[in-house]
Amino acid sequence: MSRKRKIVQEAPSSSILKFDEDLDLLGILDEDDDEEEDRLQQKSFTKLGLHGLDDGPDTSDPYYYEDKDNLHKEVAFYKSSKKQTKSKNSTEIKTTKKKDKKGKSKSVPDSVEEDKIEDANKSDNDKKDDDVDDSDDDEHASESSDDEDIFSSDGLDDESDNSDEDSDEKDSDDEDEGYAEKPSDDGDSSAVAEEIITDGVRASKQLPDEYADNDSSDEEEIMNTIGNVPTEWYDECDHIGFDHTGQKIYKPDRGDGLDAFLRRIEDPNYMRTVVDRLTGQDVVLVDDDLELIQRLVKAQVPSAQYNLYEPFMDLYSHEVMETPLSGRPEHKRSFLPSRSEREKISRMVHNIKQNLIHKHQRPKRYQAYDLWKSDHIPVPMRRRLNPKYKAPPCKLPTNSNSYNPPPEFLPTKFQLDWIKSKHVRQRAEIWARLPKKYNSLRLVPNHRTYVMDVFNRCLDLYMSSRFAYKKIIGTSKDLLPDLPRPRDLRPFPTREALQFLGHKSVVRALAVHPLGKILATGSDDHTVKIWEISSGRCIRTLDVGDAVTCLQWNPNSRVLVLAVCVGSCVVMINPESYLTEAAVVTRTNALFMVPPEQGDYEVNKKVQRAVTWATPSSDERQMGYRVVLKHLCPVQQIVWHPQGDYFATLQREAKSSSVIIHQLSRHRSQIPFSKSAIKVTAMSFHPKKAYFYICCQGRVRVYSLLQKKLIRLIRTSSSSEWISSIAVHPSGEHFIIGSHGKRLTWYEMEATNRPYTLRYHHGAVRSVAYHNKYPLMASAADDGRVIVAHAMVYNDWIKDPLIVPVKELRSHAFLDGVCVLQLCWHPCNPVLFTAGADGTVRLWQ
Amino acid sequence: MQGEAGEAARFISRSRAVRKLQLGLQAFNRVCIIKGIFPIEPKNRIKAQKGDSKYRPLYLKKDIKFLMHDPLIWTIRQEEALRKKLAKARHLRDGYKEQLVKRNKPIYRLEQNVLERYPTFVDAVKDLGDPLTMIFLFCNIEVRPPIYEHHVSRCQRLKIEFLTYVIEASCLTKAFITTKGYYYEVPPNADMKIMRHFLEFYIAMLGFVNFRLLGKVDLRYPLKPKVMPRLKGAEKKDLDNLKNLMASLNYPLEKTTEESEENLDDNETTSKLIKGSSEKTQKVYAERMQAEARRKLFSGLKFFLNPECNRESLTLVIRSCGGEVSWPSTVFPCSTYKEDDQCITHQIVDRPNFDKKYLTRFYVQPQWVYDCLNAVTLKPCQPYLPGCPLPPHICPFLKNFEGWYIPPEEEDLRKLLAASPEEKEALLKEMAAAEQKKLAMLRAVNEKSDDESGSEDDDDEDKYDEDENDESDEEKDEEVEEDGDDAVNEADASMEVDDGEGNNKEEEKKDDGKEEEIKDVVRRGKERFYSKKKDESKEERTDTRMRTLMIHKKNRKLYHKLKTKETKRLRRSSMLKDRREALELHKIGKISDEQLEGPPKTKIKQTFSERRAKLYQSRVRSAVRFARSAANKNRFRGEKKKPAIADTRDE
Repeated sequence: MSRKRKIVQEAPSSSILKFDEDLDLLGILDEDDDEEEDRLQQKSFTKLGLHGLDDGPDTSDPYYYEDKDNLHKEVAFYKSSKKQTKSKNSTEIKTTKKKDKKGKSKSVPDSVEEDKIEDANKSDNDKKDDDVDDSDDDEHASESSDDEDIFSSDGLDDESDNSDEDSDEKDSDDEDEGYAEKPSDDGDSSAVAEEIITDGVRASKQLPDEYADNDSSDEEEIMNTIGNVPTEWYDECDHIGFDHTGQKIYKPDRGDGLDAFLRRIEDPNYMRTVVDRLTGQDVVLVDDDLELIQRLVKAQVPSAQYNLYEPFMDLYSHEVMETPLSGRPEHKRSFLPSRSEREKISRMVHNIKQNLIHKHQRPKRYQAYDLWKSDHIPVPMRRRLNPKYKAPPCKLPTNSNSYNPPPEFLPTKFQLDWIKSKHVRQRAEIWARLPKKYNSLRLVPNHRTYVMDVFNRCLDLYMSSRFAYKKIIGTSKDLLPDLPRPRDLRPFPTREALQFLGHKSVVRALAVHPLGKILATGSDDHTVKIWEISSGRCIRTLDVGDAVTCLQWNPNSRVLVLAVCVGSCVVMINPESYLTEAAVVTRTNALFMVPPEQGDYEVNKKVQRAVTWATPSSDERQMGYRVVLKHLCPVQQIVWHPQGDYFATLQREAKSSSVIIHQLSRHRSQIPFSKSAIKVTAMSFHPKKAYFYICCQGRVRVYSLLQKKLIRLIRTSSSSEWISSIAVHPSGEHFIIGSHGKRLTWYEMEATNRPYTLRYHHGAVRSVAYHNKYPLMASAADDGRVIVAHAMVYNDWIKDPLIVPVKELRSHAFLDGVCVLQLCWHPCNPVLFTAGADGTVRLWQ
Repeated sequence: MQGEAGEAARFISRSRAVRKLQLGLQAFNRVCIIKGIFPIEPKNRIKAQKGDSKYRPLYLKKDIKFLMHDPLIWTIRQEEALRKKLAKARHLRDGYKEQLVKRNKPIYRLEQNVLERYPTFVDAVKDLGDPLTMIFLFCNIEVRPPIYEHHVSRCQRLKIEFLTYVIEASCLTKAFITTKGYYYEVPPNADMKIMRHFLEFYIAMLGFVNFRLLGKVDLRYPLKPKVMPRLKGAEKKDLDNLKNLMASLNYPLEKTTEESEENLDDNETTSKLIKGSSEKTQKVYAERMQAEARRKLFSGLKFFLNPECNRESLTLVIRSCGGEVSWPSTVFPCSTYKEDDQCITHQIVDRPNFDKKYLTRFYVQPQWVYDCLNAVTLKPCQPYLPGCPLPPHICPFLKNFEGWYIPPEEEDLRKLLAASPEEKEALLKEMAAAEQKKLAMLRAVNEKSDDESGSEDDDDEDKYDEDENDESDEEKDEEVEEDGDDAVNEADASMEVDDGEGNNKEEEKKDDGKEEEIKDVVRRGKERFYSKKKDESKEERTDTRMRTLMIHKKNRKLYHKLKTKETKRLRRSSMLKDRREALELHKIGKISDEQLEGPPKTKIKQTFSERRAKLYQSRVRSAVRFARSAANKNRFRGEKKKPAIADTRDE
């Protein structure tokens, strides 16, 4: 509507008109013409009340809208000028119409005819349009008689044209062609069109003519512009409305009542004459119109031709159509021979000519030939399997797998009962693997697990990890070391000869007198007992008042002194008896009659604090006590120097003064090892030299007492860290330590780097001892065994000592996991004494 | 750095290897099977697994690297791709495409792999055990998808080829029938795919081995009958007929070269030479002679197999020992003579009731053939007559472990194998006599039991003994001897008993006297008497015990392992020996059923406190085990913690 207004507002100017006409003549404005046509079409649509369709794209695209407006200005002019020309050279029909209008006398049938012609033209044009459009859109293929449908489709087409200008340009030729054909169809209009088309300008010139038919421009003039106003408002006026130029449309002269009457009588068409409300003219209805009206009144389908109940054609049926639904012609290429195919064929032909094509032959799956050529010469291959990892061969069957085994292999009744007690599933498994007897070969059935066995073998071959190991050929005896037989190494104690019964509690201390006649034992029942070895008789029992932890005889056989550790005291006892020589006893007593004079000797304060030399009371003296050394802490061990004058005591709880060396003859003490001697567990004197061994945690220290310095420091292995006892070989070149870690370690003084470890104990080692004269060694451990070993030491430096365990002694009873606590050799005979937790002392011979 | 050198760098876990080769696990398994690659146990698993102590199969990195460049992997990948294509074609129902894909499926031949794993022919022959078992198994197995018809038919062919080689070369030395039968079902839990991979490799390998083996005995490969038989209409159509000719193992086959008979040297000269030579050569010569004897064991004998016998294995044994075989023509083609042939010396029967038509031949059970082969002598046929209870079938794979139980039958076998051909006859006679004796005794016992079964049942055993004592002097003597021996053993105080028969009794008496005296002495004083034998054995025991104390740390574990094994074996062998003795006695009737089976073992009822103590002990044991394992774990992690137990001990 706005467009219309613009057209009305802006008046045309002559100069532009001229210019345009020139252009038009030169054929430059062709495209614009096309545009204009569109516009005209649209205009016609608007008249037909299809605004919505027209306006849609404009509102959506503002730029487009503006351009169109500008265009419109020019085109409007152009068109108006054209109209002028058109009006000059218009068709006969038009002119007659105009005349009719002017004369305001138009016969109704004529106009109807005109309309019909118009309709026919329209439909023709539309048909052609459709034909052209088919190439673009198949969707609009369906033809229909309804005008509106056709328009709407056109309108849609236009929309698409407007939106896609590119496609428009491309298709313009086709459209032109399509339009060009039209004139031939329309007889009259085509003649006029030909006249108009003089040179070059083709389609654009034809279009107005088309519009002359299509466009109801004559109606436009007649047309009343009052709109929807009720006509009653004009009843009193002589006009019924205004035409588009604003001039009154006068009411036609309808005559008076008589005329009407006459018409009613005379006019045969009176019954079918209707007054047009807008023009006030009479319109005679045709038969078709009547029929239409009648049908509408009857509420029937307007057209009689339309069959409501036509046979239904299902487009999408199960029947396969021979031709595709679309009538689109096949492409050119589908009629031409393919180039690639030609090439392929030529290649094939070439191959055939060259004899290169054979029938397809599958390679043979199995083929045998001489693969190796020779038996022993290996074929060179990139990879060799390591023979080390060769799979072990299958196990060969044995007698028990026989189908008819010897009778002893068959399961006994007891075994069968046992199998019956098993679960059913298990039973079958066991049964399959049991030896069975069949009376004849014919009766041997399937074996239940055979396939599974083969499968398991396969699994073993590819899945289980292999490792190389040394194959053991021989028996366990071959692994035994080659040692001399024990019977060749006699004498050694072999059996228990005597038991010394009498102690009521654990016997912890044990010592044999250097002359080998008497034995002293100390126990937790606060007693020290003196025994006669030969008879096993207890000679004396001394009640010392506390548990005895250690006792030792003075090694000097000229005196009779027994050093006993009782709690924190060390007591020197002279156990007189009928077995001891009187001279020795008197000599000993004389020694202890008067305490030695100290003179200028000043006792070190530390020593003074640690030890006090005391004389026993008269009661004690009667018991045999001669000297009492009082220590700060309980004393665990006492060791005599081989000469018998010096002795050392060990108190584990005293920190810096744990080891104290005393001199018996002068009643003096000294603490030689201040800091280093911490956590001392065992100690010993060297049998020949002035050396002193101290065993601490994880190390053994050897001190020279004369030089007053550390000679050797030996670190033990971690497993024998906690040393329980130490024994020095009488030759002085070797020593052995027993540890809580179940081990005995043999050291050589000169080559201590390579100790020899004996692992034959299964419990913590409690005590070790060398024999003085025989090459014997004994050790006791918490596993309840005393092991006697032949320990031969050679004078030759190169030769290693020979250690052969010769006897296992076992008879002590256990008490709280402890069995043998102390052992000791007889000084001259191969006789062993052991003291146990069961309160007995035993002699092994 | 961890995992960059040493053990960790040498090994690769399976999952990593699979990822590296870009294969699925199944394809990887297949490659491993064909290429003979297997996981290897590292020296230190924790190091090899970079600190992980869980078990994982570890492969050598070298092996996996080798696999990376292997054409087999490409074939497998190709197969994978083709399988996908095939599946697609199937889903699209594109028959042509399917055919095309199937046609293009690569066939991989394994000869290179065979060569790679067995660079020499001898290597392959050494490793023939597994392939043969597998192939003989798959001759009789059901055809179901992972296993196809061509596998089975190929197996059958290879088997026939191998057996013909054995017959031609007559190199069969031992035969043994176990309880494992002839026809097999596949249990559901056996993965036949894996079996197939193995089978494919073994088929390839055995194909080449057979080719070479048959070449050695101058046979044409593939096997072909010497003269093509003229087949009539129906037979001609049946293609199996030709195959069956070969399968019969009894048809002359085409050879590549003409036979040239070798003449062995004169026996006398060689035997003279051998007597002067060293032990080793003598041994080799004896073996050679035995092989020769085995080859000619059945020569000149004609066998006829009854239909119920296992034709194949018997033909193999008989033919490889130089005999002739035939069977009813209805059983299998290619029977050379019929049952009514008068020259047949042995007919093999596996039925208890068989009416013996012909007197000119022996009717024996199949076990006789195998036993003869194993003993390399023609054994007497009496015990093997049809319907007789057979003598036990002894395993010819003799084992020479110390303490291994050798049943008396095996001892006989050993004796026979060790004897020279001249001695064999005498030995056989001896054995037969012993057997006869036993049988006679048995018969006597049975008769008596029949007599007395009606009269008295209570005093059976005693009476048997008495009767036996009365009956025959020989038996009596023997029994007395036996009794005496038993007594001596029981008393454990015998001097060594000499073998001389005459002095035996007197010595025994003397021994008894001594014993009595000594016993008195023992009672009188503290001295103890040790019999010499017992003393020695005891001393030896203590000797070994002392020596075990000094075993080197390295060998200690191994020693105990071996020792337990030996003791187990010893215990089992002694058990079997006792059982055998008891059974023998039971046969004669000296031992009743109850004594044989031992008293019925009933569960001893535990008191509540006992049960509680047992439970407690088991708990303590498990706790200790747990503590140890925990301590070990700590140690493995590298924490220098002392084991918990050691700590407590030291404090």
